[in-house]
Amino acid sequence: MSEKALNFGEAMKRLENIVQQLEQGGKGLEETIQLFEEGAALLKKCQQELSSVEDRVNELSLEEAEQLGDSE
Amino acid sequence: MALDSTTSSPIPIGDFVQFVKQTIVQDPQFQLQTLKGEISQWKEHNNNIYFALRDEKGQMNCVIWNASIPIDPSIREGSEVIVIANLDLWPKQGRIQLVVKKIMPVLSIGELELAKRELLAQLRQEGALDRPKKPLPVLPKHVMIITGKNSAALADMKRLAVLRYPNIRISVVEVLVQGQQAAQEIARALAVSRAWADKHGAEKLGIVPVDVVIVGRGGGSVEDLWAFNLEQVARSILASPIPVVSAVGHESDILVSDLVADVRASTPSHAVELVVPDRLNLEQWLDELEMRSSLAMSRYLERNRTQLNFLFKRLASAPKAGVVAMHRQLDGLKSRLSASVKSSTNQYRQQLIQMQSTLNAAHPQRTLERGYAMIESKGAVVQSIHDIEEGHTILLRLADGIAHSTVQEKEIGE
Repeated sequence: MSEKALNFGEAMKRLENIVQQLEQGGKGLEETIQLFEEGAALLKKCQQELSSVEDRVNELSLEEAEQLGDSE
Repeated sequence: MALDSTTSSPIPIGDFVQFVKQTIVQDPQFQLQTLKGEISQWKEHNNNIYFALRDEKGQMNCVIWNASIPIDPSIREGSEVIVIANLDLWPKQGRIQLVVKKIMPVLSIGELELAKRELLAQLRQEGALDRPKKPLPVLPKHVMIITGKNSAALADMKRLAVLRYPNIRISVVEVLVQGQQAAQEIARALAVSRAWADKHGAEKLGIVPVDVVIVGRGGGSVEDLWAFNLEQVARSILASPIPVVSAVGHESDILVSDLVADVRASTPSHAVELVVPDRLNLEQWLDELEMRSSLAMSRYLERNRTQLNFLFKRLASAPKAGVVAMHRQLDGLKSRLSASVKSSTNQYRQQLIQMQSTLNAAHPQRTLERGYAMIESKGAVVQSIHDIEEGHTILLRLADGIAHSTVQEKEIGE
């Protein structure tokens, strides 16, 4: 599945879509389980992402910011 | 050389002029001064440019040697300009003059407005004003804020951002947001944001790529905000690979940066509201989706339970129809279901456990226990009489053992 490539916004959009499909029902067992699995994985990923973003406010002068780029 | 009024011998004027020149050149007060005035007697000669800088109280001769610096094409006789110049003395004529290192036009508000209108017309013609706007990330990983150092706008933005999303990652790049240098500094900071937005560049720097930029400042006079109307800033916003939010506090006139940016915020705080998600909202939204998905799944299972049971029963009572293959498929489903069970809620877990026991009931072993046998030949389940040849050995797999048998005779059914 291409889950890894999805950013948070895309993951949420996909998740919303999956839940809607599950709510509509009418799909076969295989497909339903597949959807549910994908949804569960996306939920986990989103929840992890929400709590994993680091707390960091960095203040740099323009020169410092430019030097950071130059020092590579 | 000593200059003393008591000295009896007179000083040659040339020496004196040289002395004055040294005094001027060595005095930092006279070097790299920023001066403002009006241009008169603009002349170009031998690739040098000569003019006088004047105002109502005085004037001084200026020179630009070898046309060595960029000169805005709008500069002409009568233009109001700002120059950065060194005071110098030309010994041969004993003339004091300014050697100009930099010259910039000072535009009146009228001229500024005109320049802005021309820029907008140009941008419109290029299609830069109605280009597709880049959407903001739902959850930005790294926000860059380009604004004035120690400004009230910056303090407001930081406070609000942390309030909305306590663990947001923000890099602030401090620039001048008004005056002659502002546009250039803003453009340079935007160049930094481009470098930091690049995946490989960010990787080399060991940072998370920047995925959204807020560029702005608090409100001010039309002149104070003017950098945001300049082409240099507009172009660097347009060059951004990631969404740029223009966030200048102002009510009246729309700035060029507002029009070229992907998102226009009315104030710096407003920009933060647009860019930084409210974490609580996101969490609630995820919780809601989780609940809805579990509920939908258990409803699905409930609705289909009888049908599923029926299917499994039919499957179990048809031992010849590729039981092994079916078995594998069911095993796969089962393990996937139990993986799902682990990641789902309690209530839903019960439903899935029931589902699993239904699946268990469909195991071929259960069928064998009911008195059926499975025939295998050459390691595969035999499904057709054509797979069996007379005289060959086959296996009869029963619930509790295997009988090795030989086919004596076969009779093909209709």
